[in-house]
Parts: sequence; C-alpha cells; structure tokens
Amino acid sequence: MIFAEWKPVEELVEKLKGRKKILVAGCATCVAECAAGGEKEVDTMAPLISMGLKEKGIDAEITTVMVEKQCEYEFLDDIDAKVKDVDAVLSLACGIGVQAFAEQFPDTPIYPGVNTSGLTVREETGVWASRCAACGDCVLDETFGLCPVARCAKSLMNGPCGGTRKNGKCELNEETDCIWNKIVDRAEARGELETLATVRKTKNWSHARHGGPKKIVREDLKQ
Amino acid sequence: MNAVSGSNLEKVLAAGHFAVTAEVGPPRGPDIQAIKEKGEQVKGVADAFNVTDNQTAVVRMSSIAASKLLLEEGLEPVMQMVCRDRNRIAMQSDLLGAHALGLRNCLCLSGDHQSAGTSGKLKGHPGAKNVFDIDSIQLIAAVKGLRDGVQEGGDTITSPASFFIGAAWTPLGPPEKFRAIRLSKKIAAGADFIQTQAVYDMERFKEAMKRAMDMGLTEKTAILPGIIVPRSAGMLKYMNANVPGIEVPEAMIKRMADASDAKAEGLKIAVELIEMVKELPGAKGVHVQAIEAEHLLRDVIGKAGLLPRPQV
Amino acid sequence: MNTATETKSLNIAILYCKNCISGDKSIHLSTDENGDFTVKPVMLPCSSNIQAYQLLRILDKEADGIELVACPGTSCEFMVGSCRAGKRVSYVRELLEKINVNPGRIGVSYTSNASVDDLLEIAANRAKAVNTLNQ
Repeated sequence: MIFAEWKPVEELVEKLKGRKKILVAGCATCVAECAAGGEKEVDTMAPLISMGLKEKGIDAEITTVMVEKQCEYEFLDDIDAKVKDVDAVLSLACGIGVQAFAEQFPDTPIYPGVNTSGLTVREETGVWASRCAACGDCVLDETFGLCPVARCAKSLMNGPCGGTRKNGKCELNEETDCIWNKIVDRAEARGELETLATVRKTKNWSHARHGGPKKIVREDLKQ
Repeated sequence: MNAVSGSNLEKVLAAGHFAVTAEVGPPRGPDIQAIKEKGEQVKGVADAFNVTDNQTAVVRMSSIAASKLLLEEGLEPVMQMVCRDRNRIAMQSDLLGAHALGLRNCLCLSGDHQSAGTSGKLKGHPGAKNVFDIDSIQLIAAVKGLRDGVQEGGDTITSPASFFIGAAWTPLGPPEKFRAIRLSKKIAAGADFIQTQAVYDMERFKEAMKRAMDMGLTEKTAILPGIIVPRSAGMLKYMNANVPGIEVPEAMIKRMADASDAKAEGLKIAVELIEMVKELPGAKGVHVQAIEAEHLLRDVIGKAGLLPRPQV
Repeated sequence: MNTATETKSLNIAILYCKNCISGDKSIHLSTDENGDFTVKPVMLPCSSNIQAYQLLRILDKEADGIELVACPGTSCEFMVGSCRAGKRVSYVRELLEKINVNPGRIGVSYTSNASVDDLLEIAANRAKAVNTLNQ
C-alpha cells in the first residue's frame, strides 16, 4: 500500500495560523492502513491542531470528515457542503488524494498533513517497510520475489556491493537487510544460484518518473 | 590479454611482472599543491595510483582532475568512478573527457551511499539525491563499450576511448557463496584487473582465490589483492568490526596489541602479507594502501622486495 | 485549559481501570477540600482501550489535565493493557510537546486496590503538574 507519515504537527500548526475554520479530512484506504490518515488519526490530529492554535492565541473551529477514497472524485462529491463551509482543508490523504481534492475544490486552500514516502508492506503491527519503487519495469521473477530496486539502497541489479555486513545487513544501518544477501539465499535454497550469474543489462528507467509524468490510456476501458 | 589501453599498469601486467598499485586520495579543496606533494611522496613506488571518487561520499577534488594532476607529475593514475553521483550520460561524457586528458585506467565501483558522508566529524550531504542509474557491473560494460567505440545506448563514438578497466572484489563479504559469481560477472562485463578489499585473513582469502581459480577467473583477469598497512590494534579491531568484507584474525590483533612499537609491527605485518600475496597462486600483483600515511608506502613496498618498479 | 488563570479551578479527568480500585468500582469524586480543582472520574474496563485521540479530545475540550490510572506491570487483566496505556500517554505527551503545550497535562499512574483518597491524591498531583505549566 501507499505509505505516508504525519508531517511534524508543529509545522502544520504554524502553516494553519491564519485559518479560522479548518476541515481535517481523512482517507479510509492506504493512509488508514498505515495509521497516518484514518479515522483515529483524523480524530487525533483535530484536537492537536485546535490546541496548537489555541497556544498561539487563535481560536479556530476544527471539523473532521472521513472520505472513503480521497483519490476518487465521486467520493469527494459527498463532502461538498462540508468543504464549502471551511476556509482551509488539512488532508491526511496521500499525495494522490490531496491532488484529487485540490482538483475537486480548486477554491479551497488545501494543506497536506502527511508526507507520502513509499510503497510498503506492514511487517507487523506498527512496523512498515519498503517493497516497491514503482519503477515500471518489474523484475521480481528474476530476483526470487525480492525487489532490488526498492530494497537495495543503491538499486543494484547485479548482486550485492561490498557493503554487506557480517550479519547480512546493509552498510546503511543495522536495521536494513542487504536484500541481495536475501536474494542469494533464496536462489540457493531453490538450487538456482547460477541464474544470478548472468550480467543484467542497464535498466530502462523511462517506464516510471524518469520518462516524464505518466499517463496511461486504456482504450478498452475508456468511455 | 591484448594491449588495449597502453596504460603502464596494463603493460606491467602484460609483461608478466608482479604489479603494484597504491592510492592517492584527492584533497578536500582545490589545492594543486596538496596533490603534487602526495604525488612526490609516492612517485615510483607503484605502477599506478588509484584516485578516489568522492570516497565515503565526502566532497573532494574530482577524480578526473586529480588524476590529470598526478599524470602531470609523472605518476600513472587509476581514475576511480562510482555510480552514486552521475547517470550514464554524465559518466560516459566524463570518460571521454578523461581519455582526452590522457587517463587510461578506470576502476568501476558502486560507491558508498551518500549517508556515509555524515560519519565522523563531517556533516556530509545526507540529503543528496543519489543516482545509481547503472551499477558497477553495468559501468564496466559501458567503459568496455567506449573502448569498442559504442556508447551504452548503442550510438557510435567518433573514435574509441580505450581504457584498462578495473573493478573491485570483496571475496569475504556475505553472501560469500556469491562473491566469486559476482567476480565472474565483472569479468564477463569486461574487467581487465581486480583490486580486492583489504586482506588480513590470508587463509580465508586463499580459499576464495581457489574458488576463483577453479572457475577459471584468474586466467581472465589480473587480481591484485588489497593490503592496508595496519597502524594499531585499535584500527584492526575497528576494521574487523565495522568495515564490511574485512576479516582480521584475532591473533593478528593480539600481535599488534602486544607489540612495543605498533607502527613498526604494522609495517612488518604489511610486508609479510605482501610476501604471502606474491606466492599466492592467481595473484598478479598487490594493491597497497596506507590510509592517511602515504609516506609509509615506499618503505613497505621496498621491504617486500618490489622496488624499483619495472620500466616497460 | 492552559490559558486558565489562578482564580479558575482546574478540571482533572481521572481515567481509571476498574481493576485498580478497591471496593465500589463506580466512585464519586468532585472537588478537593481547597476547591483548587474538580475531578471527573471515568471508569474504564481496561486502560488498554484508551486511544490517543480520546485523550487529546478531552484535553482540548473537557479537562485541563488527565491522569490515566492503570494496573501495575503485568497484573493487567489483558496482560499488556497497562503497558499499552503507558505507551499511548507517552505518545500524547510527545505530541503536546511539539505544539508547545505542557506535556504535564497528562500522566499515567500504576496502582492496585486504590481508594478514593488515593485517586484524589493522584488528581492533586496532576493538578500540580498542570499548574506548573500555567506559571
């Protein structure tokens, strides 16, 4: 899922200083999963903004709303009245949601309340880790289901650099696995280590951001 | 190996001599004098001198410029190039420029992550965007391409840029079972010579070399095991614990700790290690480093019986 | 609230786990002897159920201070409840600090067999911590 984290709340309070009526808008999909923009987080953020502004001597009216999916325009139709009633929106949706919101309500200033930083899996309660870099050129079949683009600090495509620690962790820090160490382990367990001996050619990065903003049109689905 | 670049290092190896390379780190400023002084210090002790490319992600004079300055001083540089800071366009452009300036050896590396620059007292640039458009093996192939007159993208260049291509090998880093395979990939991509991570545990290194030899790799490339002159027991302990791929036997740490003159003992150890490398099947030379103590190189290499260097 | 003046009596919410209390579980507290603060007791089935947003909502709109009263250590009925409660309170305190609100407005106490007087004392201590912030 898309992973996001709260922006520093003091930063948000500072940015919202001039606003009198603020709507804190959550999203019930990815950001709810990663505990940044779900119902609980909206309900946590709202009193914080209220108290933070009060601390600066500002009495603001804070309201909240949950949107099923902020990145779908049809769900945004439902909250029209609530948005029209405020002078700013603090969205806890990912960058996609914030932009859909801004598109739908171009007259209302919108503030992103979270930083969207990746595509992660929830490893356990309270722990998330990168899995995909959305490179547009998936190689997971050749790397035994482990992504070197997202999970190697250098996105190496031909095996581990010289920085693998004795315990199989990355030179970056003790918390990060050397993903190539894991790829090699899986390859060996499957008796297919030799498949990693082929030199992998340079990657075509143009399938993702490096090719310019992406727009995909599926004529079969388009109306 | 056909003569491809005409570099001194290539010629020394081709003539069957046991090659010696050393390292000269560029200064953290634009000081020509600093390079000249370092060059003066080590002139003649090795066949070629590695010039690092913003090692540990600390901004230093560019490898190309420092290499050129060394060349002017009569030393042959091995220009290092890492994949962290430039994409394939910039790298190839820099390679063409380097060739035009007379540089003929290029060592292709992944490069330390930019977060490494914040260690110690330096702030570094941890917020930098890294590139890693291509990896070190793909860079080797790209340099090989330029030698064959073709850019990575397939376009031809007006005339070939012939480099003697180097790569690194960390035989004792995990996953150890893959390290020889990774070496074979570097060779398949076009690596003419290999410099290894520092060796202290000669027994384990021998086993790794044997694996490489059994795979026929030592015939296809010139492997130069790395030796870093130990300066203290603390330094050995630190490297053993913190530098990936470096294994230091306990006995060696103890030997340094027990020595009344650790610096002299370190020199002795370095000389002994080089002597062992000279006898090691498959090793075609040695890469000697004396970190922040380049003045020791002449002594160490001399005592190992490797001076004067051959004129080829 | 943190804009309270000395003349105003503080509202202290005591959120207590029902297992921490001796005797009658639903206790009634109002003001202390000096009238420095009033206490609003709220019984919880277990301290683990309390959420950061609930604590913040209370701090924003209803009370000047909160004391979460939980079972000590591993004596929690649900094993990890009071440990979770402690983590939530720490989290809220961190958030308060960030927005420049005194984190002393909320705290956690671990106790068992507490009497009404004990709770009153806990509330008094919290009131003191809240007051520190107003000075």
